[in-house]
Amino acid sequence: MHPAGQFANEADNARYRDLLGKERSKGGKRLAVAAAVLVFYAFCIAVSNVEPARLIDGIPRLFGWLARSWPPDLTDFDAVLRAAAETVAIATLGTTLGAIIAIPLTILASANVTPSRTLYWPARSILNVLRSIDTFVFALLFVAAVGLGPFSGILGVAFHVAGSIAKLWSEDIEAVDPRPLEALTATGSSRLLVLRYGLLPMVLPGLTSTLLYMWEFNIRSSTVLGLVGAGGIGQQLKNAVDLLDFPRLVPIIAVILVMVAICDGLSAILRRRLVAP
Amino acid sequence: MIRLEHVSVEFAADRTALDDICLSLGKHRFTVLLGPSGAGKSTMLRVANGLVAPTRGTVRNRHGIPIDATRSTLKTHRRDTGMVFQQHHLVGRLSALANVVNGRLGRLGRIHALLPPPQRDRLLALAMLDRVGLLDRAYTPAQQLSGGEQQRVGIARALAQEPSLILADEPVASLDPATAAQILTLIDTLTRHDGIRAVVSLHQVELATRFADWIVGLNQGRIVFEGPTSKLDPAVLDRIYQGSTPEREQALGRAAQ
Repeated sequence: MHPAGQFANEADNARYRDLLGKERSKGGKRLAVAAAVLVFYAFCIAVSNVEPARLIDGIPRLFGWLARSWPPDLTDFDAVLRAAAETVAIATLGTTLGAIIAIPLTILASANVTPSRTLYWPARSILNVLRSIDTFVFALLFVAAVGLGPFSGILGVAFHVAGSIAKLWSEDIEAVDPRPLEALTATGSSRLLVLRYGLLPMVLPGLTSTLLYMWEFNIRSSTVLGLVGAGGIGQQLKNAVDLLDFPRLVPIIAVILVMVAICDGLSAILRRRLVAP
Repeated sequence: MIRLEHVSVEFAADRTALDDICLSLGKHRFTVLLGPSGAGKSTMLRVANGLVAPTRGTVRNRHGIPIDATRSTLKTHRRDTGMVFQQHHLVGRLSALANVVNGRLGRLGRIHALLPPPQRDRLLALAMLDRVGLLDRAYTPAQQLSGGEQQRVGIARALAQEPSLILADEPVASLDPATAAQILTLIDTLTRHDGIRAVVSLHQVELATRFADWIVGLNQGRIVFEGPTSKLDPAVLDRIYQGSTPEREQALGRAAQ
């Protein structure tokens, strides 16, 4: 109908070209974003002294250790297992305590549930502060305050994870379908019972799944708590590395791998069952 | 009975859902609110149950008291007024029975946040499920029921409130025609044998003429007709469906048949 490249009269074509020009201006924006990202990477590489040559120098040393680590030293293996059990206990009790702390925070920080609009933002800020201080940092503080040992680890896990749990829980709760809740409100029910019989059954599987995920996450993060003296298998790890005792290091790492794999698997199976209808 | 006095609802300055409505709901056995989508039918039912507060005007209960006078008058009013929704609004993970028991929540004290609902409320809920023909599905999760079954659970939940009036907001809009007729027949039976009155919003004329004994026609937030079903003629339908071309043609075509 039209010769190629010419579909309308000249005035329309000019307007179309104008529109195309507007789209091209997006390309400039993309270029600016790409440049900013590159500058940021350059900054990161500069401040962190990235020297690939040192890695290449270190590789033979790593292989040397690997060679010296055989045969593994199993003389104190039951102490390693006890320390692993301690790690599981720290993660479990820490996550539980964290969940208990998270319950009131979640209620205050969920916009559709909060009993007080004025406490909504303070609650959000508290959980964000808890979330941004790592378990490791909390554990360091508690070791200084209440002394060495797994109890400090439990407290460290609890305070960090309370923020994470409250954040994820409140997001689950805010995303709930409001229509069944409206239907229960329409029966003349009190707010508390609407939440108990409407909201809770809808969100409970999701909240439990989140909790299991945080537990599994804490098993992994608790393996290093021993480095600051907060108990668990990390203590064994640190001792072996400090003494360059590689035959002892191998069984410790193997136990960590097996322990994390079992807990991840268990949590995955349970979570799949929870979300299945 | 619910009385709307000069009720207006504006969602925004230029979006008027209801415009100075004066109307009594529940005077008749089976009232149908008829009108095209966007006419204000849903808003009217929500206002009547206090789920939406009117921008202007008052909603009064059968004693002439504004329904939102106190928290307790509002709760009493809602308890007495069962609601049925287009999308059923059930808690999908809960069993049919648990959803019907939820109709009793307005009568339970806060202590039942910790304690399970009393036995007599559970028995009453089972009786209501039996009433809508779903006793054998009592322990099936609501989300596994068909659309028609879910809506029957919705009706059983409203019945469990032991209301004097049921407000149903497009209860059959998402159902196939045969199931739609079944659901309306069920509501019809309840109004005949249980002394409950029904106000049902619909957009299909043939269902309205088949079930209603009283029709309120709405168009753009205003009442354009109120009267017995026998007075519904093509001129009236023309007024109700004014400005909504496809629905109007459908309505007039059906009325001519």
